[in-house]
Amino acid sequence: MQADFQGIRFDYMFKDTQNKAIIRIKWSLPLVAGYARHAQREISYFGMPGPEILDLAAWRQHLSRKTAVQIVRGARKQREEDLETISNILVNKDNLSLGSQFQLLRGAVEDVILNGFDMDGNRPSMMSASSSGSPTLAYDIYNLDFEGGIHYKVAKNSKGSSGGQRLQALAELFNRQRGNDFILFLTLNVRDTLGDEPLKFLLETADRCSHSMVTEAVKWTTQLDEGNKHLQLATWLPIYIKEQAEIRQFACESLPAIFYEGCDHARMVHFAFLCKHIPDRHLRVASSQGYEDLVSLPLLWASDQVLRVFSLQNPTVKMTSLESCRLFDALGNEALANLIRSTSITE
Amino acid sequence: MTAHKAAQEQESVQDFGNDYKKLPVDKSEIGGNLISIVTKGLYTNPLDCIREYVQNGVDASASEVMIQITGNSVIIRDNGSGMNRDNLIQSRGLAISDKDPREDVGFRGIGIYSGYDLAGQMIVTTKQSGDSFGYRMRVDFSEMKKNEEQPKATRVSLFDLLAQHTYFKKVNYVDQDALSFTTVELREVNDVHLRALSDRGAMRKYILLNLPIDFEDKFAYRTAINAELRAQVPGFKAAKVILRSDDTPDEIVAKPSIENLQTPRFDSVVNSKGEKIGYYWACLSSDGAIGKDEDGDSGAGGTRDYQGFVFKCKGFTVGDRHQLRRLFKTGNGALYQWYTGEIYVIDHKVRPNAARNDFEASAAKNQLEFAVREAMKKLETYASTFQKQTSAEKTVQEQQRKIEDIKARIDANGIDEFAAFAELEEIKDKLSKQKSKAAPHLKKQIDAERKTIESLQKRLQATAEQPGRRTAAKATSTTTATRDTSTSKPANTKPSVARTLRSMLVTSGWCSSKECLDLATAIDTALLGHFGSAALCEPIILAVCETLDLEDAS
Repeated sequence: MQADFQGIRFDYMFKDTQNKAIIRIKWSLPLVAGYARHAQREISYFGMPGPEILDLAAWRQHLSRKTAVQIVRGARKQREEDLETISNILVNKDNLSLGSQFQLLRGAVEDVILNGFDMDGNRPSMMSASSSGSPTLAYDIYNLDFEGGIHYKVAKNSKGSSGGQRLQALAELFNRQRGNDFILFLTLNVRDTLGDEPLKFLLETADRCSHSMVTEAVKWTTQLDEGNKHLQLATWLPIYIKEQAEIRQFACESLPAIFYEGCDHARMVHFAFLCKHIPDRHLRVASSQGYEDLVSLPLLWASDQVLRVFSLQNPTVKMTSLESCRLFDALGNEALANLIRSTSITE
Repeated sequence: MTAHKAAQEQESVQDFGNDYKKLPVDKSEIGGNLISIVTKGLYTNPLDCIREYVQNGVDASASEVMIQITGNSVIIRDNGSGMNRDNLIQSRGLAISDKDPREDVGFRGIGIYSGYDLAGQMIVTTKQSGDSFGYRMRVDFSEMKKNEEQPKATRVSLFDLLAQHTYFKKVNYVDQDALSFTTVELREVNDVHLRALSDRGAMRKYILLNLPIDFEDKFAYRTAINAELRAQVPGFKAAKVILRSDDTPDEIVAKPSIENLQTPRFDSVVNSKGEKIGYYWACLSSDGAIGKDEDGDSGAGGTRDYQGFVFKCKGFTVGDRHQLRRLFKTGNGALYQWYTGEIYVIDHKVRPNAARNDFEASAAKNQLEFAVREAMKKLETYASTFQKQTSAEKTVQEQQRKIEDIKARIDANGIDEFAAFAELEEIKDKLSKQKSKAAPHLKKQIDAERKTIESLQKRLQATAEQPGRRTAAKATSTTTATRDTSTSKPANTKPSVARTLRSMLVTSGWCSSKECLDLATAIDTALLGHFGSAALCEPIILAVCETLDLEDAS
């Protein structure tokens, strides 16, 4: 039997799970470890760990408080599936000795972020009242996994849902986290119901910033066909997040996106954003990573237990761009070195 | 009624005859509401439900049970042996249990439904070690409760209710073969009960008072007591309970470690026929009443709550720690507080009452009480002896320090022989009084100290009798004197030590009370201080003795 990273056995995993495991262990773990080292404490987690809580298991030695969110859908069969997932989470967290300071919230993660409470009215354990407005969150890591895409179709009779809650929640997350730095891990299915809106957004961005590299990158990206939607997503989402962060006084640095094949051949893209709150600012702040830096980041690819540079790249991509991520200074050079080491960056 | 059924009934009635006859029971004769009736009657406090699930874990030899409240769920997880498929299916049964009342805490087969009134669903996941899979049972309490709201005619039987609303499945666990556990998840617990269960203080107290809880790891006698109880008390079990919540670190609920306890004493509680009906452990504090320095009401978890003894019946506490205090007679039961211990009831005929604040009235209970009375008597005697010995030891140590002090002053030649002799006499007297209370090793010490005193007294006498010897002036009985060379003592005068007022009183037997002797010492000291010489005091002392008609012992 094959044992690999941290004793995790890949031979038991489906291929999609293997791909995610590589990202979780070789990519995200050094970031989590670096963040904990920088903070000089164990760090808190808010996310959607899934029934096997694999992310929590991989990062366990750095985690203190953990808030797991599990959706409970309405249709009977889906509801039973989701409740079963909850039971699995609750059993597995103890099987893996992760039960201490573990909170389980029920509901859609975007609703929890937007409303500040779950479907049972329970608040995240690291939420606190704020004198300056709505309650704040103070988690160190968010691990959000939107297998259904960033924007989804809703039934016509669906109350209060426009399908855009996830985008709203990402924006709201920066409001909620005011005063607290964090790492945002975001995994998205390339599928969405935004139509050509992302491409319009890219074109408008190119107009706004008038940078030749950005213009070139946008031009290249907007010409891609549906089969390369992952490359489009990897280009527009970091820009969207950067802007949402900056208008809420967060400097934000994006790491290269990672493409992988998920369950049922779903095309998935994993993002990591390092978000640093800039205190005593009321207007938009500027991240050290500019638009041109964002479009120079390569798209990585997790496949066959290896992280490598994806074969098709935007012409503006520079392989050295990873090294210029300045927020890594805060995490320490080791985190950066680990990331570069873990990636077949020269391929 | 169909014609067929009517015919069947007619036949049954005809079959009755004049003798009793057994008839089969139809499943429709046992209503589904039985679960509600039984559980609501038995579990009035939501914490009782926690007790039942913890009990099941303890019966499965769990060493650790975790209780967690997260969201609207309550989770009770134990690291016991877990259940196999058949055990899990069997656990669904009502009032049917394979457990042995002699060994196990629970045996009625009802406990698994103790969460019925609290929760919407119960999910039991269990795994035995060595398996790469476990089993899960889901019981839809909320669906079952809907049955109660149905018109009588449409309500279903208990059999159908259980069959319709319980589900089973297999769950795979990769690389966790060694693990064994049972997790009970009570889901959708209603707000009222959730609030009650979320009260950490109440939960802690309830657990400590009601469940078979282990000691803290750091308790010095944890291993010894547990090993002895395992050997002596059939079915003895103790678990560590961990309380868990969303935002605070885990709290281990365990009987607290108490400082300065002596090695535990163990003994059987036997009835008049010599049969062992109980077993106890008892630790006496070397430091007086347990928890005496704690502020106010220590609450559950403070060591003061562990003063004295409590009955344990199959792990449960019966009554409280106050009820046996009356069996300690001396000083209004003061020595009771010096002990901490537990009395495990072994006699199966002694049963706790429903409220668990006493035992059901029975001859067996009476036997137990008599036997425990004897055991307590023995323990009190031991404590009393210990207390006296401790007191004697303290006194001897105090006197030893005084002797050392006097010896040092004699060696430094800075003492009034008269006063020192009197002081040594007093010490000798105190030591003599301790001898009867002292432990053998201390008695030897007392004898040795008395010899030291006599030797010092000889030295004092010899010094005082030296020709041309000057006495120390302004000496007191307790402080080192400054030598006063201005006052001389006649060279041939024996030290007037025999003629202190105190020594006169002692030797004449006129008075031996401590107060009187202390007064005499004070007068002697004052006289010496005033006249500066024992010789000058002597006439006054003799005059006093004459007045009191005391014989001159010199």
